[in-house]
Amino acid sequence: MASQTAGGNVVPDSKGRFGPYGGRYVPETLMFALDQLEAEYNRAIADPEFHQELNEYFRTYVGRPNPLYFARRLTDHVGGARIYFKREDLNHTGAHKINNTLGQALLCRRMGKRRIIAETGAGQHGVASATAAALFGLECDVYMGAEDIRRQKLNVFKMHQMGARVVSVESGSKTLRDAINEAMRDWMASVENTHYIIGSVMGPHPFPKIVRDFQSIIGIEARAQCLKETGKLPNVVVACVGGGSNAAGIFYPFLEDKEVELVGIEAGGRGNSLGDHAATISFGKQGVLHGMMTYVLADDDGQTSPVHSVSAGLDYPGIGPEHSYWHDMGRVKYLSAGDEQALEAFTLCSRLEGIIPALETSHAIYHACKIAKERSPEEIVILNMSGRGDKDCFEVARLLGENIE
Amino acid sequence: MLRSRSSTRREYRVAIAGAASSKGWMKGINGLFLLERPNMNRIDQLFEQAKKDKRTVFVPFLTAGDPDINATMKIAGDIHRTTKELGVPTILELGFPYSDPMADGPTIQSAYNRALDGGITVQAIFDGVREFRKTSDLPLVGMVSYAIVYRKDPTDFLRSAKEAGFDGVIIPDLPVEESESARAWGEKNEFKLIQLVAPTTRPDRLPKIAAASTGFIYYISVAGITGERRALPPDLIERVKAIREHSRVPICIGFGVSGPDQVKQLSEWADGVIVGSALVRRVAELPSISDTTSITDFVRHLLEPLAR
Repeated sequence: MASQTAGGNVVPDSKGRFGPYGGRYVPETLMFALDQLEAEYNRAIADPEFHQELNEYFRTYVGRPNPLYFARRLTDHVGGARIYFKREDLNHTGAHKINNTLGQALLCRRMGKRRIIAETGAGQHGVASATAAALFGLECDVYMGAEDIRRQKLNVFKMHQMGARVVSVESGSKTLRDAINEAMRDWMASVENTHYIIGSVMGPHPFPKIVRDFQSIIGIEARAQCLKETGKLPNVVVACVGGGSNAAGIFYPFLEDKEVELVGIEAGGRGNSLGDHAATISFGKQGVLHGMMTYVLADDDGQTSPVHSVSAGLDYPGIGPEHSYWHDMGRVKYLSAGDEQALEAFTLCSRLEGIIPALETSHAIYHACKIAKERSPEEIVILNMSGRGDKDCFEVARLLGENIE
Repeated sequence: MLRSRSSTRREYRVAIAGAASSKGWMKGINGLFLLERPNMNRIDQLFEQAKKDKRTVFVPFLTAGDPDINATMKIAGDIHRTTKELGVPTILELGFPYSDPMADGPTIQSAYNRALDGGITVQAIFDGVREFRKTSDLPLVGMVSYAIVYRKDPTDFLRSAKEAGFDGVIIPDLPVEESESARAWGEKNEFKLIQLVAPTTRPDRLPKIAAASTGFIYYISVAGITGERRALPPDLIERVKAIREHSRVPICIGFGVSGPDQVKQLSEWADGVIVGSALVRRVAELPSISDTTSITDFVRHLLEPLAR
C-alpha cells in the first residue's frame, strides 16, 4: 500500500505533524474518536487482508488501474512537451474521491460503526461517500452547503438515489467550509456509532495521512505506467489543489524522484483581493482551521476569509497540511489559475480531446498546457485528470449564457 | 486605577520573594505577605470563598459583541448585580466570536455571526473588558478559538487578555498535548488556562488534563455541541466523581443547562454550573439593550435553587 511503497518519508510524526503543520486542534470531545481512528488505521494497514480487500474493490468496482492517456491533439495544439492524462475521471463515480471513500468505509466497517457522515463541496466526495455507503450497507448523511446544492443538483440527485441523506448547511458562507463544521459537529455527538469520512487531505490527524495514503494509488499507478509506456519518469506532474487530495495522491509517490517537478494549481477565482479567490498558498498565512495547522485565508483576527472559485470543489480557505509542508520545503510549486482560465481549459480539452473535464481539473489543465508549451517535445507532463465535468455542465452553461435546464 | 495598583503590588511581591530566596530568614515575612494575596487570581479567590461558604458558582456565558461590546458588558454588569443580590458567586465566561466554531451549536454560532457582522474585533473586546474592569471585580474567563489566539501570537494574546482584565481563558480547540507553552505562560503570570473534559475522555487522559488545568476544569456534560437540553446524561455523576479523583481544581459543568432543576441537580456534584445557550438566546431576543429585565429575571429563576 501507499504508505509502505512510498517509504523514506517520515511525516507525519506521531503527533500528526508535517514540519510545523498538521496536528490536532479539536475540542476534547473529538480526541477519543481520533485516537480510535488512528489505532484502527494502523491495525488495518498492517493487515494483508485489508489491502487485498481494498485492492479487489479498486479492481472490480472502481475500475483500477485506470489508464495513463497520451493527449495527442492537445499536445499538438500546445506545441511543446507531451501531455499525458492520468484518467481518474474514468473511475466509477467519475473522480478520484472514490479511492478514499472505499478505504475509509472499510475502516468504518472494521470499527463496527454503522453510519458514515461526509462533507462535500462539488458533491463528488458526497457521491463517492454515498456510493461506498450503498456498497457496504451503511447509513449515510452528507453535509452540503446550500449554495453548493444549488450549483450541483445532479450530484444531490445521485446521492438521494443511493440512499444517502443530504443535509443542507445554511450557516456562514453556505459552502464547503461550513459543511465541514457541521459534519464535525455531528461527529462530536455521534462518534460512538459514526465514522466521519473526510474528503480531502485535511482536518485533524490522522485524516491528512489516511486520505493521502488511500489516494496515493493514483501516483503509484501513474509512475509505473509512465515508466512502462515511455521508458522514463515524467518531467512535470500537475494537479489542482483545493483541500489537495488528488494532488497529494499523485505527488506523494514521486516525492523521492527529485528530478520530477510537482506543480499544484489553486483556484485564482476572479481576482487577487481577499474574498475573490481560493489560492491559499499564494495568498494565505500560517493559521489554524478545521483542526489543523496549515496555510489559511484569514483576516488579522484569525477569522476565516470568504473565498470564491467557479468550481465548488476548490472553494476552500485552507489546504491540506502536507501541501503547506511541501511548499515550505520547496518540493512542490504552487500556482493559481483563475475562473476564466479554467473555463478556457474546460472548452479546449472538451473540443480537442473529447474529454469534458471537471472545473476543478480545468484549473490544472490550463497550467499543464502553459508548462508544456515552454518545454521540448522530449519532455513529459502528466496532468491528473481528477474528475469528469458532467456535474459542471449546468454551471458552465449558465456562465456561457446558455440555458440547458 | 485598579490595574496600576495591582502591578505595583506585584513588583513588591516579586522583590520580597527574590529577597526570600536569597535569605532564608525572610521566608516568614514573605509568607505573611502572601496571606493577603494581593495578586491572587480572582478565579482562585472566588472558588476559595465559595468553598468556605459552601456555595455553588454560577458561570454565565455571553457572546462578546452581540449586539455590540458595550451592550455585552452592560448585560454582564446587570447579571453580576443580580447574582450579588442572590448571594451566588459568579464568573463570567466571555466568548470571542469565531467564524468557524466547531463545538458550538446553532444558538451560539448565530450570535458569533451577528457579532462578526457587527464588526467585532479582538481589540474591541479587550477595550470593552478594560473599561468594564475599572468598575468591576467580576472574574472573567475568555472562551476563544486557537485560530484567533494563534493569529494574534499566543503570548501576545494571553498578555493582552490579562492586561485587559481577563483572569483566564478556555481555548476549546487547543488540546492538552498542544497547550504546554500557553500553560507555562499562565503559571508564570497568574493567568488561568482552563481545560475541557468530555464524556468521551478516556480514563488514561484524565490525569493529564486534570494536572494541566488551572482555575477550574470545564466538564462538557454531553457529547456534542452546545445548546439547551432538558435531561442531564445518566452517567454524569460517575464521570464527575472520576474527574474529582484526579483534579486539584474545582469542576464546572456545562453544555445544555436550561432550567433551575438542572442547576439544582448539578449543584450537588459540581463546584460551578455553566449556562450558555439559554442566556445567549435571551440576549438575542432582547427588544432593547436598555432593559435587561428578561435576562436578570431568567437568572433569578435559574438560580433559585442556589440563592440564599
